[in-house]
Amino acid sequence: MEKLTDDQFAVQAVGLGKRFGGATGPWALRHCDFAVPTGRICGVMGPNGAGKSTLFALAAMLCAPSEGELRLFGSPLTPDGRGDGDGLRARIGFAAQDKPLYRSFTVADTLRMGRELNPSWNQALAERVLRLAELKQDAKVGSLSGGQRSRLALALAIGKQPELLLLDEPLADLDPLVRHDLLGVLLSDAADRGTTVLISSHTLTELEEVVDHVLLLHSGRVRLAGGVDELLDAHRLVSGPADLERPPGEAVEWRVTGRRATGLLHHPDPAPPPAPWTQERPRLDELLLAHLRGAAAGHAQNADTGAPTTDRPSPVTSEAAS
Amino acid sequence: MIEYRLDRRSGVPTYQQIVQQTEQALRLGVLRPGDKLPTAREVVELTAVNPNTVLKAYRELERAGLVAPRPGLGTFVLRSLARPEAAEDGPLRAELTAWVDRARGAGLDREDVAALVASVLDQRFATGLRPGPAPDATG
Amino acid sequence: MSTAQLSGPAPASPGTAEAGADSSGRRSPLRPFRPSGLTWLAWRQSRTAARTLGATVLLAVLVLLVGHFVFRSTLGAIDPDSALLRIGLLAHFTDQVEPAIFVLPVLIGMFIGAPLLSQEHEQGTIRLVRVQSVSPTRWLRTRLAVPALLVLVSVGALAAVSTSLWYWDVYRLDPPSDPAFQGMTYPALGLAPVAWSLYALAVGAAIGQFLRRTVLAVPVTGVVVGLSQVLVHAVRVHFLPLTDAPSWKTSWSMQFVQPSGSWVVEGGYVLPDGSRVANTVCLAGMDCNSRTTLYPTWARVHPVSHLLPMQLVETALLAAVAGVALYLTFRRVARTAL
Repeated sequence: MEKLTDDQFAVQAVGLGKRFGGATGPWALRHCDFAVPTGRICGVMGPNGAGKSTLFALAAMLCAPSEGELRLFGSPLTPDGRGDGDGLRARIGFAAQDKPLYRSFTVADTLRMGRELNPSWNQALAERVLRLAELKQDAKVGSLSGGQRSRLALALAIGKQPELLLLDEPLADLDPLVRHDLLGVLLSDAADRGTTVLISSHTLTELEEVVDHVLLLHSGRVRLAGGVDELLDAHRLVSGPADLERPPGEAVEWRVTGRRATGLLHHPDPAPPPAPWTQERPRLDELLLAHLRGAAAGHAQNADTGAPTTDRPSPVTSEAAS
Repeated sequence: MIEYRLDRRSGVPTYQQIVQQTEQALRLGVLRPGDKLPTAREVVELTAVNPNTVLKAYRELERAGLVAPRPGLGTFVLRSLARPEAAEDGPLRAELTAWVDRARGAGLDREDVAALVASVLDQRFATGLRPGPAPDATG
Repeated sequence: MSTAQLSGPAPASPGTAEAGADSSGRRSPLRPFRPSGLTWLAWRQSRTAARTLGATVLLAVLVLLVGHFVFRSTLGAIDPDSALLRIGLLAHFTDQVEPAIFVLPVLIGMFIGAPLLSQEHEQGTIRLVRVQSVSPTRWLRTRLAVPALLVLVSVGALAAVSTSLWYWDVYRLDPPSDPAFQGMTYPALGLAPVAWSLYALAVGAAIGQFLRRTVLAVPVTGVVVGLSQVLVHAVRVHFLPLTDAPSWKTSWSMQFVQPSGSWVVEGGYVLPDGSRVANTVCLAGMDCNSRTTLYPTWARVHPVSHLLPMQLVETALLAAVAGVALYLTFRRVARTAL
C-alpha cells in the first residue's frame, strides 16, 4: 500500500475495526485492510450482517473507528483523531440503507435542503434522478412509497455531486426498470466527473456489470478486495477427476462430487493444467460465491475447534495500481 | 448510430459484446467510416454498465484500428469491415442462400441448419488454422 | 419556497456560504428576510412550532387586551375606583393570566424543546444532515438558535403586554393588590417568562439529545422543568440580601407596617433586652398582644425594588444551567460526529 501515494485512493482502511456498545460490545468490523482507488465503482458485497452498513457509516463519517484508521482521500480518521472532518464532508455523499428523510417536508423542500446545504449542488442532476420516479414536487415525503423515498434520498446524495458517493443498498426498493435507469444516470455522471462510488448489495449478481472493483465482506472481515479484472485473472475455475492430484494454486473452494472434483483456485499456474483438467475464468458471481462459501466454512471450522480467528487464511486482496 | 444490446446471461464479457456488436455493425455497413460512435457516457447511461467497461471496449476497437478518438468530438469510425462479398447482392451470399434452400429441401429445419453451419465454422476456423485457399473450396 | 425556484439549476446563492469554508459569504445589506442555508432548514423545521407559538401568543395577547377593555368599559365606566373592577381584574390576572404564563415554559420545553433533537435521532434524519456539506456543530447551533429566537420574540412580546397590563390594571392601584413576589405572580412578570421559556427549550433539547426518544423526552422535560420551578421558587429568597423594613411602634393591634408590595421574609418583636424574636413566639405562648407587653417590631424583607435584580439573578442562574446542558449537548454531537 505504501508504494502508492495516498491521494490515489478515495478510501483506504488500515487495520480498521468498529465495535458498538462500548469497550465490550461486539465487533461489527475488524482487521480490515483495503484500498479503493479514486474513480472506481466499487461494489461492497456480502451477506446481511457482514458489516457493510458499518463500513458505510464509517466512510460517511457518522461514527469514528474503534481501532485502526480509515483514510478518505488520504485524510485519516482514527478513534481519537478527527481528520479534516468538515472539509471532507463536502466531498462525500451518502444514501443510507434506511433512507432517512424529513417526513413533513415536501419533495421540493427536500431538494431545496440539498441546495441550501451543499455548495456543489446540481439541481438538474437531482431532478433527473427524481423524474424517473414521476414524483410531484409538492408531495409530502411522509406520503411517498418506499421506492419513491429511496429515489428522493438518492437524488439528494447524487445531486450533491460528491467526489465519493456512498450508496448502501440503493436498489433494494426499486423496480427493475427504475434500477436500470438510475444506474445509467449514476454511472454516466460518475464517468463524467470521475466520482468514486461505493455501492452495496446483498445480491451478488445485481452489480456485476456495474462495478469494476469489489470489496467482499463476511462476518466483519474483508474476504476479497481488488479490481474485478485483476481478481478474475488471478482465479480459475478448475474441474477434473477426483483421484488426481489437485493442480497448483491456493484452493478457495474445492468440492468432490462422485468422481469429479471442481473448485476455484487462486494464483493458479499461468499455464493451463494438463489434459484431464479443464479450466475457465470465473464469472464475478462465481468468484464471490466461492469466497463466501470458503469464508463460511472457515468460520464454522474455527467455531468447532475454538481456534482464534486470526488463524483463518488471510483474505485475498489485489493491488490495483492504475 | 449504433445502440448496444448487452446480454448479461450470455457468458461473454460485456466489453467483448460491445466490441463484437460494433464489428458486426461495421461488417453489415450499419457503421461506416466517419460515423461517430456513441460517447462512453451515452452508452453507460443507456446500458447501465461500468464506464470502464465501455472505455475498455473502445480501446480494443482503437487498437484494432477500427476507430479513433478525436479529442472533444468523440470516437469515429476509421474503416469499414464490410466486404463486397458479404453484401446483399454479393456472390457469396447468393451461394449461401442457394445452399440453405437446398438444405431445407432436404428436410433440415432451422436448428439443424444452424448446428451444421456452426460445426463447419468451428472446424474451418479452429485455432491455428489460417484462412487460405482450401483445396476443396470450389468442389 | 415556491416550486418555481426549483425548476432551474441551482443559482449560486450566497446562502450556501453556510456550507463551505471555501465559498465567501456575500450578503447584500438591504435584503428582505429570506432564510438560506442552515437557517432555512432550521426555519423550515420550526415552521409548525412557530405557527403554534405565534397563534398561542396572539390569542393570549388578545385575551389580555379584551379583559383589559371589558373591565375598563363595563365596571370602570360605572366607577373607576370600584371594588368590583378591582376584584374582577385581580381575579382575571391571578386565576387565568398568571397560571397560563407560568405553565408556558413547561409546554415550550415539552413540545418544542424535547422533540427538537429526539425526533432527529428517532427518524434518523440526524444522519441525513450530517452527510451534507455542513459541520455538525454549526448545524446544531442553527437548529437551536432559530426556535430560541422564535421563543424569545413571542414570549417576550407576551410578557411585555401582560406585565404592563398587570402594572396598570392591578399593581398600580392603591392599595396595591397582587403583590409582585406572590406565588404565580412573580414568574409571570418581567424577564421571568422569557428566561424560563429559553431555559426550558435548552433543557428539553438536551434531554432529547441524550434520551433520543420523543415519548421519553417529552415527559422527562416536563418533570425537569417543573422541578426546576419548584426548586428555584424555594431558593429565590436568597438571590439578594434582605433589607430591614422600617418598623415602628404603633397601636397594639398593628405591630408593624409592611412596606408596600414587599416580600416579608421574616419578622417579629424586639424584646426589652434588645434581642429579636420571630413572631412565631406568639404562637408558642408568649403574650405578644397585651397592652403591657407592646414590643417594637422588626422585619426582613425584599422590597419591590428587588424584583428586577432578583429576576436578573434568576435569569443568570437559569442561563448557567442551560449553558451546561447545551455544552453537554454540543460536546456529545461533536464527539459522535467526526
